Amino acid sequence: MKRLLRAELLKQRTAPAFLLAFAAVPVLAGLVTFATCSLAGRQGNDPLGPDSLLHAIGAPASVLTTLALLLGVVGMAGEYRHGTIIPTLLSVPRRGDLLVAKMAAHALTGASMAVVTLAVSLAIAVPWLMSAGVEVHVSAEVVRAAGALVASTALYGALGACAGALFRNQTAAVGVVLVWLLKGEDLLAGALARWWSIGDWLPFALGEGLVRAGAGTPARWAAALAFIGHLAGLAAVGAGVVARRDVT
Amino acid sequence: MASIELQGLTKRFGPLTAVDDLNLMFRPGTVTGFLGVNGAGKTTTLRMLLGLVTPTAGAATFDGRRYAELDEPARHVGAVLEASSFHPGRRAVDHLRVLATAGGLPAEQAGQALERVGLAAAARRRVGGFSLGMRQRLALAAALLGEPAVLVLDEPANGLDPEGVQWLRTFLRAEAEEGRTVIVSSHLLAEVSQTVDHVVIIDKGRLVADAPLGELTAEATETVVVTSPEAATLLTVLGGIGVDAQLTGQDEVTASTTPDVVGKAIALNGIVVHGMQARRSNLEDVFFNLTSTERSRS
Repeated sequence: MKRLLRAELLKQRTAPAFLLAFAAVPVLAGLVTFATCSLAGRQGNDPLGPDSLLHAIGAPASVLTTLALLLGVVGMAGEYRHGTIIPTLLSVPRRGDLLVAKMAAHALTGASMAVVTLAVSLAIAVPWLMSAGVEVHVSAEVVRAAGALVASTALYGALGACAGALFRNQTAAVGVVLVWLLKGEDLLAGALARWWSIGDWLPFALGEGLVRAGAGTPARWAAALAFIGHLAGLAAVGAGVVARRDVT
Repeated sequence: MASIELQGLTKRFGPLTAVDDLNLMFRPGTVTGFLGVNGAGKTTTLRMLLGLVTPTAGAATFDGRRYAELDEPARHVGAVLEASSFHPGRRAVDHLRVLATAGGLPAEQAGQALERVGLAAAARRRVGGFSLGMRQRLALAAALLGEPAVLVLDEPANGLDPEGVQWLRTFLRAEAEEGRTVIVSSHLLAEVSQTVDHVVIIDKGRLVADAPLGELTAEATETVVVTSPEAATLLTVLGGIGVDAQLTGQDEVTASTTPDVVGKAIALNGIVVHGMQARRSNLEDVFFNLTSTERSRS
């Protein structure tokens, strides 16, 4: 498994599009943190204060997790787009092992992206807050939020690989995942609201709740467990699909 | 060295039977030509052999084990299935390094494999800029990474220039002489006949022939084509001495015999001849004869 993981990470490091996406992470993190700090106290936003560091850390979460998710989708479904699934499966004929290696590689990449994002966010937000006279205090909640950002981005990366395993067509995979992310969960939660209130327990709501835990959302540990449950379920379905699929 | 066995191998895609109860053994130390027209079931068979397609029935094994059961398969089997199985943005050497890492092989074998196929100079180039011939060579380099005992090559000459084809021919012969099992699927019969020493022919998914090349072509008939303004007379003369002959054109007779028999008949009867050509049927004729016989049966 270790060598499969190394091979998957090498695939990522040697694909220009992937490197470009990874290089975009600090830029995006910087822009979002800059916007969060500069818009504080304007356009209805809270002014800079003791909670601003927490906000700055959480602000890039949506962009970051979406990027990790899509890289996971492309990392798996892209094997069919480029036909690399053939040499890949000739090297790794046990298809379940391949999916696990992809999940692990994209989880690691997601975690790395989150660490870079945190570093950039802190590098911008801390001096900004200090110059504004706000006392910067690294509270336990800040540490928990940072840990949750790393964990959720890793989980999104793995989830993307599982989702990508369900499709042969990369464009369809990306499209379906984006539609589910932007609309699908809300529609499903709305349709079922009469009987069950499951909106907070669907995958992407849980991912959001992990980073921005607060009143009315599941506790972080519960959100993490439920997200892992979704991931395990999707991984089982993905492994089944990949195992049965003929590569013609 | 590995022996490869197909036992009752069958694949159905819905109502279509792509491969129908194939029973075969591929022998070490030989280059086996796996022949058939497009759609005959060659590629599906090779993909079942390599675990990419699940058989509906039967099994394909390497020394009794399915491909998925092989430990470090890259050390046992090398395969070229498509010349387009590359990420276009990845460098050639990186493509091989990924496969070497996944296959548990030392990364330096990537460079060695590129040298063997004559692509060392293009190692740092991105595959998207490669010609079809270069991609074929890169696919072959990937197959050679683990120095496997078995090579499975699906249409490996596609896209190669004449020099490349000649190189491939020499290369495959050398691999077989080292004791490797080499399977080459192709529809280029004339090319294959210069490389293989055993021939397997399938048609509509069914086995039509499985024999050494020499044996197949030895059974082949010899014909003589004569162009003559007295074709009708020649036909009568040949019939009179028991030769199977027929008019194949206004001034043309084709006789299933040897040139000396026809020449003697012409001389003895003073028949005017404008041309005479002896023709021994080659692998292509054998192939079409066998597949058309099979078709007329079904």
